[in-house]
Amino acid sequence: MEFITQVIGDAFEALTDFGPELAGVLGLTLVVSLVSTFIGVVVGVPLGVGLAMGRFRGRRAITILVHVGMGIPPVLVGLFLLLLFWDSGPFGSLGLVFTPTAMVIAQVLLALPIAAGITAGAIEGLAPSALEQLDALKLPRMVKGRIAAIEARSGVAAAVVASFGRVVAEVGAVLIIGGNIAGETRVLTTLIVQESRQARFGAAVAAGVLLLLLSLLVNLLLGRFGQRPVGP
Amino acid sequence: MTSLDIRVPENGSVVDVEGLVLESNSVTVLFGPNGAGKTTILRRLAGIIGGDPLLGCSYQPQSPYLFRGLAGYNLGLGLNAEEASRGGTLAGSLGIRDVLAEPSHTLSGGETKRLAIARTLARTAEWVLLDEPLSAIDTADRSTVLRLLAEELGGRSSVVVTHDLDVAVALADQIAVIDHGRLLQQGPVSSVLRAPASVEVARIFGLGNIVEGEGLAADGLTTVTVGRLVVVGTGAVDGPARAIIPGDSVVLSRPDQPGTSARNRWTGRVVEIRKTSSVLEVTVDVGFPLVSVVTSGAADELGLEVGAEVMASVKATAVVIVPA
Repeated sequence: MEFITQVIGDAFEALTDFGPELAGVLGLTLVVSLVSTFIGVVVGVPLGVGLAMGRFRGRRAITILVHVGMGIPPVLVGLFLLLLFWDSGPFGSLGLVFTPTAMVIAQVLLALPIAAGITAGAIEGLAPSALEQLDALKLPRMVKGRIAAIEARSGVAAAVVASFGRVVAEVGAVLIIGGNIAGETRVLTTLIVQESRQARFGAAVAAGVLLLLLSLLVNLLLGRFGQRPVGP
Repeated sequence: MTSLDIRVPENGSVVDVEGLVLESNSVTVLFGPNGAGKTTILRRLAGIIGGDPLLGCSYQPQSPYLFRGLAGYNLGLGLNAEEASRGGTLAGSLGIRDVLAEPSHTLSGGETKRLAIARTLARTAEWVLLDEPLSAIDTADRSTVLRLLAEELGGRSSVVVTHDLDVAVALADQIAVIDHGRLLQQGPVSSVLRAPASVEVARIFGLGNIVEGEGLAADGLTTVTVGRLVVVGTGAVDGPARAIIPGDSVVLSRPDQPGTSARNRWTGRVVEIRKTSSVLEVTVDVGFPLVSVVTSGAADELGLEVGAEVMASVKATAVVIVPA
């Protein structure tokens, strides 16, 4: 029990000593997660709408790909990108290994299938009469998709929240492709791994608390957005 | 004039209609009981199922769906400026102008239906396709909506699905009788009603009771004089007329019972009782043979037997009068 009390005390101390280093880690976490969620959602939601409503060649194949992507282990994504971006790899000349850009790319690959898959499910779950009415109205494809997404907006909001949840919580991909370099590519999850490996449990717990607060804050904001009435 | 073959698999069975004739600038009603395959045919025509549309059309499914936003926003969906202004006028004629500024989810089923009708009619399309346009419409608004539909569709290429004989008679130039996914008979509505091609068709029309006489129209109803009897029904026919009295609308009671609200009341003797799978078809000679469909429980209660004297009554709204 004394051990736990000690850890909590250390964590409290680390939080009150909140310095530029921790602020940098927190900032990078926020930026990388939000940017990758944003890109993943902007591409993934329309893709999900298209998969649910479109009739085009390759739809089944893309759907399967999305479903696989929803459950792919982040470390695999990290490893895959590391091989691509490694100095002697096919895209080595880009110099992306151990950069925040590469971390964003990795997390987009994790967020996108979640955004697309959950959106597609939400659209497919609309009342059959809603989908038939959309067909009957003969609207331009983009308008039709937009109306469907608004109609399924609580499902789409869930897709956004889940995408953010996936990227903010994951450690495998950013650790491999980012390298956990202090002041450059260290984020809260990789910091927790680092500190617990060195038995600095107070600092690890402090980072964990920040991660939870960050997640809570973003979810509250997204939640508000999802509940706001949409439409004219 | 277009002649179409439609073949669509549906729930294990197949809707297979050969040579469905649709005439331009006239209203074709697809008529038949529930589950006959009428909606499937309409959805195929509109291209909702089975491939590209067979007709360039403005189509409204039976259950309209309003999307999030104002009712007025829904009215304008898919319409250009000119169509939208026509939609506004139609909404006024259908009595829903006041609800256009309301959020769509506050509209009643009937208001939703009327909005969808206004939108569908407003659209400039070669064909108008309507599925059960009068379902979900209150009895009070029914005649208004039916009159507007008759006016708007008159002379316009259109296909209307219905299982109501009064809707069919009010709207149709041509009628196509559908059952079990097959086309049983088609042609001008008056000739199909006058001469059902088969017992099946007659049964679908709820015929069994057709009487001819001299019609006199007044106040939206027509009185047909048949010898010493009169039959009152809906429709406007002056001159030779045919009254169609659905057998399941004929109520039998003891002759000494006090009067009912039904406009048509005749007394007579039972001349035949025929048992079908679930009900009895009782023929009463009231001056003409009148078939009433009753349950066996009701027959027992009334003590129905051949030779018994009974009173037959039918509401005027259940009787359809067409020109003979």
